[in-house]
Amino acid sequence: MNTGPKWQALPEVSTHDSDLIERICQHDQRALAALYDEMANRVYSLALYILRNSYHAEEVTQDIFMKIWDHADQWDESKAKLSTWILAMTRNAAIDRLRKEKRRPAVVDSPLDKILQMETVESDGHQLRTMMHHLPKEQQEAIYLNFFGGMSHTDIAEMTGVPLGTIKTRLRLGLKKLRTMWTERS
Amino acid sequence: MMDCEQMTHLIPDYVLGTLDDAQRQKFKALLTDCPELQELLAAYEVVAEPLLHSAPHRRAPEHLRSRIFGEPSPHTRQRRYWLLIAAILVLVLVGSNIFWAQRTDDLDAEIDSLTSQLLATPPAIIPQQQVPVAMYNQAYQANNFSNMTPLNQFYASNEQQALASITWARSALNDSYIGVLSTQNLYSENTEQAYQLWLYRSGEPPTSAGVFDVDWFGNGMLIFELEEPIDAYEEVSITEEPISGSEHPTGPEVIRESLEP
Repeated sequence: MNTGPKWQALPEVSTHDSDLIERICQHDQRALAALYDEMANRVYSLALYILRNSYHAEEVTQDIFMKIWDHADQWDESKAKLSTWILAMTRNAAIDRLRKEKRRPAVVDSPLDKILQMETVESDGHQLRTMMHHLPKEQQEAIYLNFFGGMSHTDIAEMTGVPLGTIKTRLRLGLKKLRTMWTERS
Repeated sequence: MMDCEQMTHLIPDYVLGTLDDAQRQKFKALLTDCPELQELLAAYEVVAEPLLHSAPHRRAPEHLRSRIFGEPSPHTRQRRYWLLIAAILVLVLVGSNIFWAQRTDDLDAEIDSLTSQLLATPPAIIPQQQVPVAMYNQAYQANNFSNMTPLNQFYASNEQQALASITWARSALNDSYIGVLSTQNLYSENTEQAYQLWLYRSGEPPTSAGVFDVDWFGNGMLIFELEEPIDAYEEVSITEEPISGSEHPTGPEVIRESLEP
């Protein structure tokens, strides 16, 4: 049985974040639908990037919007943009899924990566991804496994068979360069 | 004291504000004992948010919206229909296999007679029962295959843990060979694409063994017929191709494996 949100006749939805969330708190399905139309591709893209499995990415996407429906009041406008709050929840849910299934995040340059790389859009995220490609592959891998895989230094060292000290250096140097490139972008 | 190295995975969570209050306080206290993590923290404070947005853009499937908002999707209905047919087909095949295994030698003549009748009747049965031709042919070949002892089996896998196995046997009805490819974890990212199985040997263009689709769980099956045993070939591969299949491999190769022992 579908226990999803039910329609309610309420005024037209504004796309303003706080207004959307306020309406979702009142269980206005049109507000959730508007948020879905705005965010679904980004949520699905992030879940797919972490999980490398379209079925699981769909499940995570669905869970995230159900969570927003039930807990929209947990968004704190003063702490994060709405999109950041939603994507941070998506990242956590996808990493939890990886851990639950005892799967390891796929390292970069898989065939799926090549397919994924074909569809990109011009955005801050795309700019950062381009910057990532300027880093040595080992540093990209360390950042990917730490940020998108939720893995510690120790986990990465165990998974890759590379000494712990080397992993620490790769992550530190990679993030430092990425930070510099990001702050110095025109 | 918690090992500093084991805390690194919490830095993005701390920066993105996804730790609960207790975790946050604990992490904050431990940070003072782990100066090397402070450098990572400073970097993540700048790049964590753009990193969240950096996943390559993909469109969420159309049926997902319907699923969330409670509208039945034609796509979902169609998939359920095919899953139901596949389940029935599996039951029929398993039942058939058990049935034939229980027959004794004195019924061989009857089996031969039934097999001959089956061979002669496909065109008449298909329209009457309105079974899709391709599925009928697959069931027909699988029924034939279930009566044979497999000659050999081989497995292949790729980095995404997709697994393909091919079992083949000599046909009971003619001089050909029948192979059954089954896949697991072979996830299709593009619903407009199918997979195609190719066989290779030196000096010849690749031979297509057929086109197949996978379900949401990456399970797929292809039953194919060859004039020679599959080990007459040197390599196999699976590529993504248009649903109607291709004359030569054109799409990304998802699995390639040698058939040589």
